[in-house]
This record gives sequence, C-alpha cells and structure tokens, in this order.
Amino acid sequence: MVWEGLMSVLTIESLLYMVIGVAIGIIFGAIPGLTANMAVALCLPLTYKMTPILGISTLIALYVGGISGGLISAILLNIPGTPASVATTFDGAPLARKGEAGKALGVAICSSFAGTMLSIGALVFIAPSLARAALRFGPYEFFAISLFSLTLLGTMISDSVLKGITSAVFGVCASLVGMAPIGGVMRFTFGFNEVATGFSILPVLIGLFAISEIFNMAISPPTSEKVEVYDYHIKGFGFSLAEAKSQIGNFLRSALIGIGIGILPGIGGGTSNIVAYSVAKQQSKHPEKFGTGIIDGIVASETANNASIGGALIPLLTLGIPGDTVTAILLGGLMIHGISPGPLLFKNQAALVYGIFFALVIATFVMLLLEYFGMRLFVKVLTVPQYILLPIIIVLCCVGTFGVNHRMFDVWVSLFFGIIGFAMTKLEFPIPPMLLGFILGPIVEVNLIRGLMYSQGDVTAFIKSPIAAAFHLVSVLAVIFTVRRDLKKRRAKEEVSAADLQ
Amino acid sequence: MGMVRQNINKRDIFVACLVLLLGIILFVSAQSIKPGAGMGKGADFMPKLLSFMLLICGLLLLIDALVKEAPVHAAGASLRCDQIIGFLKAFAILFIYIYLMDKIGFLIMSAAYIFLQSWIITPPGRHRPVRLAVISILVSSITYSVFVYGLQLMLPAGILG
Repeated sequence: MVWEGLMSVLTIESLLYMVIGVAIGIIFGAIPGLTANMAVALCLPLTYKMTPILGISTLIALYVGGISGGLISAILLNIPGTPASVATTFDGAPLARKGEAGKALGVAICSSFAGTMLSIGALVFIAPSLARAALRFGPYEFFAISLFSLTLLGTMISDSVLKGITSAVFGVCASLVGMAPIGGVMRFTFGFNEVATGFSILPVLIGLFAISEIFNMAISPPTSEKVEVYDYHIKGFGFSLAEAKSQIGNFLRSALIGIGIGILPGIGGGTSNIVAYSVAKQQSKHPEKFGTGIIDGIVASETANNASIGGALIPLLTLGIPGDTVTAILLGGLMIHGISPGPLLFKNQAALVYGIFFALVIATFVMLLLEYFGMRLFVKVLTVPQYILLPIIIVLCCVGTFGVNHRMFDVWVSLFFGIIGFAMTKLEFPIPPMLLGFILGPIVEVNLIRGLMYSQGDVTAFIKSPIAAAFHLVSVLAVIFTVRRDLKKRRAKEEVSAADLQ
Repeated sequence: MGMVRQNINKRDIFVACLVLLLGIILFVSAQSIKPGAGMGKGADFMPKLLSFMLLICGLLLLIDALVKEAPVHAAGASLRCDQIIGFLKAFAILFIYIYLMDKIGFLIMSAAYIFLQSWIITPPGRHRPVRLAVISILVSSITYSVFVYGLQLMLPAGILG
C-alpha cells in the first residue's frame, strides 16, 4: 500500500502537475489580495478530468505553494501575501530594509520547508490512529466535534463572539437548501430544481471569498502609488549554521503551535503565525528586539503557518472535517473525485492516503527549490497591478463555478453569495464561520437527529459519551473565555475614553 | 434601561433587528416544511431549531448594541455616495456579464468584462485603454482555448457557436 501510494505520485505527469501547482500556488500566495483558497478553488476545475490521486496531488501542491508564497511579499513589500504571513512582515520587512532581504528570504523559505515536513510527520503518525479511534465514533461524538468546530471558529475569528456564532448559524441555514438528509423533503428550493441537491460548495466559496473581494475593491480602489520592492540577493541558504542552531527551540515550539492550531477545525495558518510569533516574543530573552528585524520572528511565523498544513489535513482525512478554509475546498475536490474522507478512507483506500502523504513531501521539496531558484520570476509577478489581476481572477472563478455542473445557475449562486459576503464584511460579520457552518451543517443535522432517535428524545445522551462531553465542555469554555476577554477589552477601552474626556 | 448608553450604535441595532427578522422569516417558512418519511425528528426540525438560534442571537446582539458604547469612528462605517455608486457599477457589470455569457458567449463577454471592470477600479491617471483591451482579449482567448480544447470543459459559445 505504501509502495503503491508512492508509485502513484512518482509519474512524470504527476511530478509535472505538482511543479506547476506549487508555482501557481506561490504566485497566488505572493500577490496580496489573492490567497491559497483562490488558487485551489480556481484550479479545482482543471482537475476534473484527472485521476483522483493526480487531481488531489495537484491541489495539495497548490496548497503548499499558496501558504508559503505569502512570505515573498511579506518580506519584499511589507505586505502579507496571505493572512498566514501577517507576522512575517513584523520582522521580515525590517530585516529587508536593513539590506538583508536575502537572509530574511532564506530563513523564511527554510522555516516553511522544515515546518511543513514536521507537520507531515505528525500527519503520518497521528492520522491513522485517529482514524481508527474515529471508527468508534457515533452520532453523539460527531455532533459534538462539529459543534466544537463551529463554536471555536465563531469565537476566535472575530472581535465579536456573537457575530462569529451568528455567522456560523447563517452558514448552517444555507446548508438547509435542498433535499433534507433525513425525511427526504425539499426545503427552501423555491421551485428551482437546480438546488434539489443543495448549493455546491465551490460557488458558495468563490462567492464569499472572491466575488465579495471585487465589490470591496470597487468601493475602495487601489491608490495610484507604485509599490516598492526591496532588492535582495541570497547567498547559500542566507544564514549561518550557528544561527540555525540558535533557532531550534523556537522552530520546534512554533511547529507544535502550527500543527495544534491546524488540527483545530476551521482555523489554520492565518491564526497560527500570529500565535507563534506572540509566544516566541514572550519566551525570548530579548523581546524588545522583535519587530526590529530579527530572524526569530520570521522563523516563528513561517514555521507555524506551514506546519498548519499537515495539521489541517488531519481532521480532513480522518473525520471529513476541514482543518481550515483551504482544506474545505480540498474536501470539495475529494468529493468531486468520488472520495469520501473520514475514518473509512484509511481502511478502504489506504494507497490513496499514502499517495497524499508522498504528494505532500514532494510538493514541499518542490516549494523549497522553486522559491530559492525561481524567486526573481515570482517577484516580477508582484508588479502586476491588482486592478488588472482581480477581474481576470473573477473570469476564472466563473469558469470554475460553471465547470462544477456545467450550468449558469452555479455562477448566479456565486454572485448571490458574493453579495452576502460583501454585506457581511461591511456589517463586520466574519466569513469563515459561515463557510464552515455551510460545510458542517448536514453533519450537525444528521447526527443530532440520529442521536435523538437513538436516545428516544433524551438530550442528556449527548453528554453521556465521555468524548462528546469533553468536546462540549471545551466549546463552553471557549465561549466563556472569549466573552470574558472581550468584556475586559471593552472595559479597558471605556476607561481610556473616560480618562481622555477628563 | 439605566445601562443604555448615551451614544447608541444605530448600525449595530439595525444588524440585530435584521438577524431577528431573518429568524422570524425562517421560523414562518419552516412551518410549511413537512417532517417527511421516517420516525423521530423530521425535515422541519433543523429549520425550526435554527430559527430559534437566530432569534436568540438577534436578541443578544440587540442587548449588546444597547449596552455598549458606540465607537467614535466605527470600522467599516456607512458607505459614502461614491462608494455606493462604485459597488453598483461593479455589481451591474458582473450581473450583465453572467446574464449575457450564455447568449453572447464566454469569449466575447469575458473580454468585455475584464476591460470594463478593470477600467472602473483602475486608479485615476493609470488608464491605458489599448493595453487593457489587448490584455482582455488575450486572457479571454487563452482561457477559452485552455479549458475548451485543452481540458475538454465546454464553455458557452453563444453567437460564435
């Protein structure tokens, strides 16, 4: 099975697609405003005609490239290419300003590589055991895990716990459209046969993330100022062996943070890079140096965001629950290729699973080589203006959504969700909880109803299972903790305002 | 009522009322859903449950809006007139693009869309019509060729078909 998995990705075709996938991913990651999500969503239709392992390998290559590519603009432009590289700007750009952009890039690339490889190791060792344990999960456990995922993302992603949870509820509401999974009745189709099976995930995703972005740009057009790119020159790896040794502790800690946050459903590199940076600063003997251009900050950020890749794949492959928004699209990709992720995947399609592991390893090596030797080309792409790029991206999005079912209806759905996404942004509702709610809605509904059937309406059965009870407890604690934190922040703000008035 | 602040955030109250309204609409719509075949809870259970959750969220948002101090400059505050016009232009172009794609065809409509949409969001002083037209036609043609001839994914041919 392991050998079969390896051979399935060691074909010339597969290697070629992975190289192209990583390159496209890096470009999307590097350009501010484009994300790994978009790269994977746009290229998903390209994989329709491929074999499952070829299609999934390509998407994974895009994922790896997309998460890593953000470091280029973070360091050379002081603008994060993706949310996963926000913390890289804190020390990457200052280091580039000092004339050491090559060192910053070298450190970031190596950290990305090493972080991904460590997370792949975690994936390979944790996922099979978790899948075996998940085979024993029943409706109470799956309901608890889904609710935990929604609660965690809803509470942690935005400043307002209420808006985060409301956004998640909106998402679950959107998943109600179509035939009910239990009862077999049509709901909220308003006579449209096209939604008999519900909305497809790709139009929803493209609408919420890409089309809403064109509306945001229409109301806040880019300025006419030219963006300055720092010059750079990488010698060797860009840093010395002594510097590498000094970062081992920082690297391991950041990798664990990245893997841990990646495992948490719905949260990925966008959160882990900032958490890892904050922890690195707190634990450092010289916290005052953070922000002035030291490699510690770059190591923390880039290790964590890439380590989230393997982490995010763990719940996806073992439970069918996406670890972040990119794995949400990967979930769509897997389903399009007739693969149902979950505990049975490891049992019934072990060769495919090992193929995915090897694809990750190969894509990571390709990412390392491309970023070192192809850096000049990627930097050139950064100079293409967003006002030209974004409409092109929208056209490609329309192709992608049309390609799902070969009908214009899906393109209209993406426009509809684009308006919803835009309205939510303006009203300060976070979008990721809505997407996760949409994906997990059917799982929540089916397991809730099944659980009630088994217990004959007794709701206490949902906390009698120790695993389910543990997840419910963590959900409640997450809400309490976040509400307390928000109240403290609000009180502090009010005290400052009162002091200013005096 | 003693806790109601002086500066009430009207936008947050509007948002809370919107959520409450959605909850009510969902609850009313859910009444017409039949439970369907099978024992136990049916197809109407989840919509009704979610409508209650929306009502609770709306109520809590309303209380929160009444209790907390309104920020002096709200982030993402109301849109200005020019911003509303910008949004309407972008929406109209996209709407027309999607509406006419099936009738006129992907190739022509995509070139037109890229040109017009880029034109709207290009900062003043950076408009290059010839360059933009060339890019629009090239991108549209390349995309069409790659997907239709390379990947066998049919796109609307429209009047050229």
